[in-house]
Amino acid sequence: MRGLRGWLLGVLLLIAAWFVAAATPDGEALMTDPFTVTAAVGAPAVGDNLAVNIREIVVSDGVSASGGWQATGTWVVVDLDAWTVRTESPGRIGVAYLVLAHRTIAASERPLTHDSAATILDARLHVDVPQKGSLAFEIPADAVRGTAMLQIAQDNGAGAGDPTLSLEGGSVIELPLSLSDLPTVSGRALTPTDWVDP
Amino acid sequence: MTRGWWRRNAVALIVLALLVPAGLFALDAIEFGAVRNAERDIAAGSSTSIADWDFGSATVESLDPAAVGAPRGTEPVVVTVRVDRGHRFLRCTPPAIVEPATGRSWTSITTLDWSPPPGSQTSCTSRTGIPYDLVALVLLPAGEGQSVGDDLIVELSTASNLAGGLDLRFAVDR
Repeated sequence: MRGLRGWLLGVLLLIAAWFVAAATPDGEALMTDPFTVTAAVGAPAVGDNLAVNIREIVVSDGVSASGGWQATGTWVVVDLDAWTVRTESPGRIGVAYLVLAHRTIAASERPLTHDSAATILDARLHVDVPQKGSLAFEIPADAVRGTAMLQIAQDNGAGAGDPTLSLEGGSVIELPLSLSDLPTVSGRALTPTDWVDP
Repeated sequence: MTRGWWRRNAVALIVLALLVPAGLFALDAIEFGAVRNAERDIAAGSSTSIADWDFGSATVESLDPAAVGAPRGTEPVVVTVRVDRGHRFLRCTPPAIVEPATGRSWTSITTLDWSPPPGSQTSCTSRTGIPYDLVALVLLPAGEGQSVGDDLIVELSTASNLAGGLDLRFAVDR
């Protein structure tokens, strides 16, 4: 009788262990999956080390940047303040994406052609000392409708080529957008990266 | 449980008592051993030796923000660590500032209008073999609710063939 009770207890424990294992998230995925911080325009959004305050988002039929660079086309321009909260190493907006219905577009590096401070992409950020700047996304003209997701993250060393890799291992600041509701302007000048006056 | 149970399982318990801490130590060493340096704390005004190099003491001196083109609401500071160079190979990072209370840390900034004073340098390498001041300009926040407390650590990481990776953490009087 005592032996039977022991076996029964063992089987029950095995079943309980199976439930625990099934309910436990994949450890590797937990270590690498980004965690999202949802932002709102005009309010600080703080990730694990990167923080931003998105000031304005517009659609423009052309952009110009410090250093004399300019381009035509359809652009989504994001003006924001950015800073870090714990460390300055690393301390950069390494990647920013605009996730559309069927494609993901990385923040353009083209405005940086003549001036490395033309956008805030990859600018050196400082702990609790905000800087202002712009991010610019060149999108197809027919894409200015429907919803999109703006994603901003630190540089994890993977480059911007593959979002599944470049967003791994840290926080991603996200802002859902309705592209057709964004203000439309003409020839938007990007805000050069500079200190924010307190 | 009776005393007999402990006696019967004494060997297993002793093995467990050895293996559990050893396992934890091994896990820690495997996961973090290669990326975490050993640390050495140095009292304010004191110096320390690594191989045949001497480091310290460390000081932090505030500058006028307007004089170096820093924005309002910030406090630029010059961090200085005295270095007496030895003959053995050793690398080190520029000094940084750590606020122990919050874990915030600041590294050198090179975009402000500031030059190292004569006789000082911003990197560890030196061909002269004579003592020098290792300096870095660091931009601290001084805005409301963000300013840095007086309890700060000047930290620099060193790596040598003899001592491996070692982080020096100098206490400073502000």
